[in-house]
Amino acid sequence: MTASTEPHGPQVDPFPERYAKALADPNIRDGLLDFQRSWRTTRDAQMESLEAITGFTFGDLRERLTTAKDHVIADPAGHVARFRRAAEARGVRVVQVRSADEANAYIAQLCRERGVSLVVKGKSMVSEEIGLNAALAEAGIEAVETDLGEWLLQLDGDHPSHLVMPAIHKRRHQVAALFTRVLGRPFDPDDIPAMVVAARTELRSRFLAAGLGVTGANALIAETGTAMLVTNEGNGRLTSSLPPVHVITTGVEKVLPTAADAITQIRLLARSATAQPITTYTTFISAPAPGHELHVVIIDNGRSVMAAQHGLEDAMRCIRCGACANVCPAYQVVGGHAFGHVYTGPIGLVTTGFHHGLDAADGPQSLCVSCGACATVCPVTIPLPQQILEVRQRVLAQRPDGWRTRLALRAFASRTVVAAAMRVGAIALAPLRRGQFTRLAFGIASRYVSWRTPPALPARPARDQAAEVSPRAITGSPLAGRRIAFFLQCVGDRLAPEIPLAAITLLRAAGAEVNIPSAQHCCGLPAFDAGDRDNARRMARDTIVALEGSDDVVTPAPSCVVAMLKEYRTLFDDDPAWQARAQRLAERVYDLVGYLSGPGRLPAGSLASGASDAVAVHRFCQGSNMLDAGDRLERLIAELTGVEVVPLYEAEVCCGFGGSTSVRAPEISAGILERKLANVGAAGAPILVTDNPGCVLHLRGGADAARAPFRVMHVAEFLAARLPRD
Amino acid sequence: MVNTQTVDDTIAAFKQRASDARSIVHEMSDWHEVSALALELAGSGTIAVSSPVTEAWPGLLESIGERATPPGQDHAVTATASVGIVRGALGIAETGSVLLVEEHSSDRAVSMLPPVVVQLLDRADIRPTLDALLERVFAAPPTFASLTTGPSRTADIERALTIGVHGPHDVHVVILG
Ligand code: SF4
Repeated sequence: MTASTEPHGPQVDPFPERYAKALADPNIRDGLLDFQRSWRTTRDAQMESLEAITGFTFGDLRERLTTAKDHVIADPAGHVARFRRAAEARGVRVVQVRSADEANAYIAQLCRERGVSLVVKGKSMVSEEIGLNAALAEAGIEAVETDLGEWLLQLDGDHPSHLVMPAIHKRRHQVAALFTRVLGRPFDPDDIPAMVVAARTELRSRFLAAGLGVTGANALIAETGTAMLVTNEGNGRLTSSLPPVHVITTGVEKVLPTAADAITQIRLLARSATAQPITTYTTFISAPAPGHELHVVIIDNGRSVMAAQHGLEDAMRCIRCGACANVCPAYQVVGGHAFGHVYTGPIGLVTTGFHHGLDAADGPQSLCVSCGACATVCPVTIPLPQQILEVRQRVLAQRPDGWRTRLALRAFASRTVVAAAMRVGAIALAPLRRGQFTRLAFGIASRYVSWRTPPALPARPARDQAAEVSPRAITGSPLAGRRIAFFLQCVGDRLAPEIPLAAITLLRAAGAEVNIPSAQHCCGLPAFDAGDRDNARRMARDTIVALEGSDDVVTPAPSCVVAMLKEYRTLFDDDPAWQARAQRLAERVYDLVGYLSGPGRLPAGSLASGASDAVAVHRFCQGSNMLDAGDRLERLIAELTGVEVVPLYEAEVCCGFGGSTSVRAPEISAGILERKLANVGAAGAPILVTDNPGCVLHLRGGADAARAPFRVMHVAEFLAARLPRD
Repeated sequence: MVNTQTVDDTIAAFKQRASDARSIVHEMSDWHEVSALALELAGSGTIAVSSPVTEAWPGLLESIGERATPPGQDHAVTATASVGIVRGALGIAETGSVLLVEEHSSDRAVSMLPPVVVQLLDRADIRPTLDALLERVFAAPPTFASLTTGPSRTADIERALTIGVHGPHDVHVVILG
């Protein structure tokens, strides 16, 4: 990306320091776990009741708001001009500036001209983005934050870690200590109301004394020239009303075409942000008060560059609700100081490069596990997971050592190279093999293995054993005579052959003719996930060719199905011939659970033999978030086996496997895994069943390292073990 | 959907949602009762009154008596008042909100600075949904209009909901007529 040419904003510590600091602070992880859980419950309840209250579902409203925002993305200049005309007709001064420096200079100059030495500020992410406070301080002007969270961060020389709840990383004892230090009298950590009263008193005098107030805007309504501002504390209304001069700092992405669109945004924003039906104050400012001035400063700072990038322009729809962070499992582990830059959470990984340079985006983007949860709650349907991968591609392309990743993936793209390497590895590690695991006795690479026991390397891959599988029959199967091209998936084939072999057994037992095309290797997901488009395309093409010419394609790995259905589309968006071939594959590819729940649905109770221990089911996150899988795995198990499926809290939350995250940022994988293992432990079933082989290995290794009291099985293994015996 | 409800349903929904947002809802027949309420809430303090109130109910100021300060005060004076009385231009049942239309900075101070605020609302001005804003606010945009929903609040310290940070701690919504 040609990012904003001169990166701006507050001085933020380098990423490795922020990451290390976040990992060392359990307050962050614990506080965010609580927060994410309560937000999820209340937000879902709010969205649930939305239709009864407004007549619209979440889906209806997000579609409307998405469309409205897209109109502005298609014609930003026209919409800004419309806003400007309407606002200027009522005496508002509207200025557009290109850079952060120009914005800061304009406001500093205005302060000088009006003789202002004290500025009060409402919460404004744009002012954080441009580093306004520092710029004003340089000009000898004091700027005081008035949002409680922002104020205490300012007092502490700290930065926001969440778009909506800036001080979410601070605990009450830290705030009490800060107040004690700054205000010179003791504060009791458990008396939050007393701290709030102290803030009210302190800040009240500033409101009355300030000569100028700066706020952001939640929307600029082009039709009427109105700025919309929402707050809960009321500081936005005070900042915009008491001082004689009010300056709004904002970006073009806040423009909405019509007032009706603003109402749609109101209905979505608070529900998405703080899980309230509406915030306490929603203010519509259309003109300066009599005797006052109103300036609207619309800042570009990399936005027009971003809007011109194919695949990233959708990020301009963001309404800064923070919902994406509230469901992000990696964000929960480290918080927004590491997971983001000035803009935090998933959307921060996308926009940072444009506002603050691609280098600033590099570290944070590496923490994304690609689970897809963010996109499911975004009220303006931003395809965040795809965009983060897009940013990753750009980061890889400009990184001086990016060639190493590409070279390694080039080697991985070759089936024969991987096969040879695995043979050597299996022989070398054979002495350390203990059952399903490789036991590394000495603490080598403990950053990678202390929390997750690595799997054993099998002597023979699944592809060499598939012919030996001899099934028994299931009667009344719809699969009799069906020709299936079976896709082993590289992980299962090479690291857990028992998984694809179990799936093949099952399908053959159901009467299908299962072929294992020998040219198959890897779908390309690892390269796509690493941001290496060339190697991803290479592997995708090989996979498409290898799987052509059968009735159905079935794989035990839903992650590959996600790749084939979603990623292949963007991989070949400039190549219609390959896109058509990818489309033909997409039409007949199934993951095992999807297949057995759809065209390959076996008679109820066909797998009723065997033990009746209850199981818990982990839902593969991408299946839930990208394939709408819902509870189909639970239903399949119950229907075929009659085994009791116990409820698992947060069943659809990622397990932390997340492709290459366990290599790029193992602490993130470990932290997410810990949350999952605790939930599974609490469910109390002796067996955990899930359906993505990578997750099975990850959970199995994690359960082993944590000595957890349950076994982890792939659904194919679980079902195949219950085939009728003769 | 709210649109198809009867007037009584709309009022009931408004009262319910305003209470959910922690407004204290009253129904009164005229402004004499309002002045009694204001005096009770103010104790020995003063009562700031905004100009939309004196325009709509010219007798109210006098009925409150010497404790009332008329519209147009300096912010510093309004900041010392115990109670502010403002006029709600609309009530919105969908959210339990009261719309304040406040042109002058001094009127806005009345709804923001005192710890207790009384919002007076004509029963006839209660509407089912936010769509009512299209006509009342956006057809001819006033300088400054705010939907207010309950008292000022924050959850910025460990997400603990705390009432009354910058704006009023108690919001009384009085439905008149
Ligand atoms: S990307 Fe979507 S979910 Fe995230 S802050 Fe923006 S609007 Fe909210």
